[in-house]
Amino acid sequence: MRAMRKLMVMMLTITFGNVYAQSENLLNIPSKTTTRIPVEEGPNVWGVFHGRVPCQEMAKELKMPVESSCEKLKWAFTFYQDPATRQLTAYKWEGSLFRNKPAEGKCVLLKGMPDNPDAVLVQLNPDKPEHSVFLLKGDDNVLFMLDSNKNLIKGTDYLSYTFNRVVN
Amino acid sequence: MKHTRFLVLITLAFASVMATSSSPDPMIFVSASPCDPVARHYLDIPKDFDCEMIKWRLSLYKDPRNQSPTRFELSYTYGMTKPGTEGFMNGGFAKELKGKWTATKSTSQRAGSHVYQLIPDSRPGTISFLKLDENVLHLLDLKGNFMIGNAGFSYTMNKL
Repeated sequence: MRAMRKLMVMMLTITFGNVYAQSENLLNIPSKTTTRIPVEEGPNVWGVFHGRVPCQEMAKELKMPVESSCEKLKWAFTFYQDPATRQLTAYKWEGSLFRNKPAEGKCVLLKGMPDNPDAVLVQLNPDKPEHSVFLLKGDDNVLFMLDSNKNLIKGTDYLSYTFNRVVN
Repeated sequence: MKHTRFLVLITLAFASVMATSSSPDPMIFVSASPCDPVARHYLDIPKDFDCEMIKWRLSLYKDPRNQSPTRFELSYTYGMTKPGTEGFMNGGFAKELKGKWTATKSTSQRAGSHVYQLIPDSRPGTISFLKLDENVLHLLDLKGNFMIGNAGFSYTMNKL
């Protein structure tokens, strides 16, 4: 009887140990930032998202001039929230095209894409509609840049219009 | 008489080809993604293999008669990136996965209308993508969450 019990315990340990080890190894979590300066964190930070997008197409979308040799834009978005309500309040947009001075402004969450009224979007510059930029919130960790009609933009075999949450 | 028999044979051969073949023009999606543990698990990439990028090419075939999903072919190359290029050091390591695929309507209120699920012939387990629109898919993890990329690469698949 004692031997049986020992055997049962051993089998359970091996089974659940393996399951735990496997799920531990297969975590899908935000990657650590590769920047020299740590990303902002704290109760007023909604999230920091990094990504690279095709240069010519994106610049055309944003009506910003770029060199003809420009292939990709490396961008970092820091989104801020009200610590009390956790409502999105502001953004900082850094990287290519904004090397000298980050773009900053207000931002809000809103609902609705042309083919999906429930989709959640982040709108940059809601107070300046002519300069508004929209990102689709896939979930808490992944955002997709949209065009001016709030449609997804097709990327290439090397670059997409996706921004991923990063942490320190 | 000979002419009629020839016509019947041609018609039968054409009907047979149409009945057994998938759409000759598959939907093709491409991507360059990171090489995280979940992606390694899906694609059978050894966990200790030096890998920082995976290039995907997914071909999805449909039955031409009713547009229902039939076969998929996923070819992928992985390895270390070659600085200053979009390619791999020493060309990378290439593999292929084939099987059936299904499309089911997403019940979630999040972005994305359908989940495309790949069912490989050669091994157990499935690989799922969320169809965000006609041109963009996104790889899901084992729990159905969006796969999180990094500053360089994402798990978004773009239609060719």
